[in-house]
Amino acid sequence: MMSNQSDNKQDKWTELHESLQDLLAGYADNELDEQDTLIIEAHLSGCDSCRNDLARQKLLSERLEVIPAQKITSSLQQRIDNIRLEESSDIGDHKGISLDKTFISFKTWLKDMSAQPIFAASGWAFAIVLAVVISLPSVWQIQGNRIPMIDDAVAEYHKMNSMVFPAVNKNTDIKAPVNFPEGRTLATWATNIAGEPAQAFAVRSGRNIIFQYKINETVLFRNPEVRQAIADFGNYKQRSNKVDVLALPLTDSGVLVVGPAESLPEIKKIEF
Amino acid sequence: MTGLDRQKRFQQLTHPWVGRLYGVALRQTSDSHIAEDWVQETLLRAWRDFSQLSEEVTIYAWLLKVLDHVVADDVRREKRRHQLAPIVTVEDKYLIEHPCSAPGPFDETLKAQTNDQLMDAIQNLPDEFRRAVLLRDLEGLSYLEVAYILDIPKGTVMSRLSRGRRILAAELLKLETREKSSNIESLK
Repeated sequence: MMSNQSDNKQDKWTELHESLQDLLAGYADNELDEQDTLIIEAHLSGCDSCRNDLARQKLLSERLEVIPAQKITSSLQQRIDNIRLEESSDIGDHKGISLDKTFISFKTWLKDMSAQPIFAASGWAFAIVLAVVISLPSVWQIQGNRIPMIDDAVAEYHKMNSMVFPAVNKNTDIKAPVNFPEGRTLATWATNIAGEPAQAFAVRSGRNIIFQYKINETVLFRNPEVRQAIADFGNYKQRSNKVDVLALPLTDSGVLVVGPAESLPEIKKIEF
Repeated sequence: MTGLDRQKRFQQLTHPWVGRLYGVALRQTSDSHIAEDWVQETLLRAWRDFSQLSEEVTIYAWLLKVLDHVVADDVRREKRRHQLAPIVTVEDKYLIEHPCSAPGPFDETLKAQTNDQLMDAIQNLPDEFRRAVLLRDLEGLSYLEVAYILDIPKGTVMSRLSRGRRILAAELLKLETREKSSNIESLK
């Protein structure tokens, strides 16, 4: 009788042990609900095999996380740039991949995403970029490879910086692409950045004059380093020759903000 | 929205993610030309289905889902369909008996292996586990995002990861044993 009870207990433990093995990844990744977490923790306290498995999973996951991804090749970039997007004749026709059936409700998505980092912060790509801009610190690139749009913007900044701008803007219609506290737009003019037309703006920020260049998105995304930085951090920053340059994506264009080193406003204070 | 506006909108939304897409593609083939083809095809399909993109999903997750279909159509269908997924438990022989299976020595084993060796081991995982490990551990996506991309429930993501990592751990331990044996042979 005693032996039967003991066998039963062992069977139940084995059954539980087997079923919990599929939850170990969820425990390692903090993806379990409270109840499952309690069950797993109770089991782990008496199971060496599962404890070791859990430790291996965590170590493996941490090791894989730091494997760097390959960067985009110039040949692929060229191919992408050369893609001709024809208007699809079957818009609304669901012959292709049926995406709408698998969309998860926005509320559920946000609820489950709340603990996730930047990537999961919002639903629509531009919102992601904005979220990233606000929440992730990016790094200053010390000038390495030449980037034509940056070179043009900095060259014009050096040329025009000695100009005397009006103390205040009399034309209230002038509005720079991005705004920041106490920034006052003083003047605007047409210019050329990386071979494409652009609009320049002079903005007073405290004692400094900061230039903004509204450029088209093709120019903004032309350089792979800039593209990667915008994908990773939401912006690209370069420091060269005592001048800081910040590149930001806008809804249908881009902007380069150029000013003396360490004079640019913090990203979180910028409105665009 | 005019056709030109739609094109601009599409390019603006997809452009920042092309580099990362390529990275994901290249983790599934050693041939950079094939990876490039997949990314190009992904963008073309994404453009074709652009009108179906909902605000309820992030653009990157959507592009990864399209890429997953592109890869499936290209290679996975024939190559891996009939591959049987092994069930590996925590009592697997290698995981129990191998001298390096305890957490400390296992950590050393992982550190001793190069990124290429690890990527090769991942490539050799059965497809369903490989995709889950790739999206979670290398791309850092949440379980919900992986579930969306692979069209499987969140619980299945969890079990595939548990088993996939277990298989991977066992394979890396086997690799360690082979390397040690060949080192000993070369010293003889």
